Amino acid sequence: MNTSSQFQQLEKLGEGTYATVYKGRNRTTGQLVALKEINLDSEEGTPSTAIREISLMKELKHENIVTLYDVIHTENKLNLVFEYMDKDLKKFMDTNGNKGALETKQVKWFMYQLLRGILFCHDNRVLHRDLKPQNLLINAKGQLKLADFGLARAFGIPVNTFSNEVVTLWYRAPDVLLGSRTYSTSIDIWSAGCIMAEMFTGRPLFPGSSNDDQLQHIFKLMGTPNESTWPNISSLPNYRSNFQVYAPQDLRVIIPQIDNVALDLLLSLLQLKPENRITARQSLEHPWFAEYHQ
Amino acid sequence: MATASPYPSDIIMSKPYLSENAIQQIQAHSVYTTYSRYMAQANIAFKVLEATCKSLLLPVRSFGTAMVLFSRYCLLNNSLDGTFEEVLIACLVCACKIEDTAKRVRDVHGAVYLYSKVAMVAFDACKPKIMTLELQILETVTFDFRIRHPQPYIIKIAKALGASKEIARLAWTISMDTYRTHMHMKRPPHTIALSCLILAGKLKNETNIFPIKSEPYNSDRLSVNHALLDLLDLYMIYLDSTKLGEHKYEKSVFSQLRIAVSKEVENSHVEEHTLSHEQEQAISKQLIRDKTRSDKGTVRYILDWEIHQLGKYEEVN
Repeated sequence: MNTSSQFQQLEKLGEGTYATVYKGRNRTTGQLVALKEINLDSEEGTPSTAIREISLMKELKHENIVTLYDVIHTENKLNLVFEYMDKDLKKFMDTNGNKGALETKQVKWFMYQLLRGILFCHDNRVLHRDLKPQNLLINAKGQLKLADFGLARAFGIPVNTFSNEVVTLWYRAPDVLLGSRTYSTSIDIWSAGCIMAEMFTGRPLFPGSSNDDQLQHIFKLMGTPNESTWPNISSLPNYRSNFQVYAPQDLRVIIPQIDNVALDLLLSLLQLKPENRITARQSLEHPWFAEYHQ
Repeated sequence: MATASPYPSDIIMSKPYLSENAIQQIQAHSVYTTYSRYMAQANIAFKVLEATCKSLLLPVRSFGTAMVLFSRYCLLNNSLDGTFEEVLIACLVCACKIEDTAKRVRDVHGAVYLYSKVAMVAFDACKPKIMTLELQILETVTFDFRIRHPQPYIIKIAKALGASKEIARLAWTISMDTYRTHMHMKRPPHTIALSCLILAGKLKNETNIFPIKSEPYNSDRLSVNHALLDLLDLYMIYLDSTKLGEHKYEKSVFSQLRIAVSKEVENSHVEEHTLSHEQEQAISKQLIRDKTRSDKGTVRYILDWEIHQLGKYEEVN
């Protein structure tokens, strides 16, 4: 970015497919910011992910969603100016956790904030679609905020034309993996469940390497669904009648320290059948968060 | 420019709506210097983009957004930085990205030329121009993508009014024609929707939905009447090239309705615009996009409600 600009560019924070993120400082106010420099594609121009992100983030203002301050256009480059956050949840777990695992109290506080951010998105008819620890940012005050809305979309009716090529594999809901194209808010809830388990253990819950392998990981732990547990599952495009049949496992084997109340919430988030998954609003009312209820 | 700041940065605030007077003032400085010149081109743009969107299986909202971008680009710039077809391609490409119905630029290019009356220019030859135009369009709308459409409101308000399906369908047709006009720069989509339903009700003589109160639909009667006047003006002059024109209404129907509505507007004795002529003229000059702006330095684009978050040195254009 031009040195005469309002923002001084500091070190590089990360690089994505369509953008490079730098730390920056507002020269007038001294405030730190994250500068996301958008790469323009020679064939397709401004990436649609950048336009989606600007369009959704400009309207989503919430303490658990990272704020987009400005869109800056200079010398034919596009920069998005975001609120500065210290690290992402992945890095936070690596530096503050015990081999990545966080204390129950910390998990609870992060989950509460994550679900509040998700609820705000869903109330504003936005699906994030790509929730993962790398997209959850933590600041020095311990606040957690949702970021990276490049894959997000405003949902409306009908929702049956969604592409099924979204959500990083490990946090992808089984209905999406099975090829359902009518998914909705429940896909973000599944991701939240995977993230909750990962915060407890320090390791991803379902580290699949392909679509089938991902389903295999999920079924091994949560049990293989069938027509009686999930009516009409066999009509989904990627369903196969020869899926290996697994019985559901007790999650306490993987997360020994989890108490029954937290386990109850985790199981409501990780329901295989999307309609059975708890909503963001219901999850915030869950007894596990009783200490935040007044 | 924020002259007091040691680090100059141009801040441009989004202006999603403009007054009728401001639009008239700007028109003289813009791509098409009169409304009738603009309408001649807008009618062509409508036909080409409608056919293009149909062939690419795009939803109505992508078409609507493309037309809104086209009318804003034509009004808020002083020249077309490309051929007419390149501008249409860039508008539709932007619209598809905004509406999350992405299409490859190459496919949009092919379809637009297929339905245009000019000879196709090879994609590689116009690609750089399309890229530049896309950024110019994004600048013109100040990266404010809050483009909403009247169609969902037509369905909801029609249900609330207990209007027949025929009325709703006719209002939908009328709402498509609004994309030729500047109405989307002047009125919010729910007010446009209400005016479309009222006109449809009048044309079909469906008396049971009248009288219609505007306030329950977050509109006021004067704005709805002004929207109606815009619709009636459109049909009195351009009926034959519109979608409603296919329904074989007599032009006299529209002029009779116009007399009634304008009488009511005159009798309401409310000044819709409070700015002086000089103020309007000053504003309209500022509104034309300065093409050199982004070459000179940083331009920050903010939404109107973000103005309170600016620092003390920061001034807004």
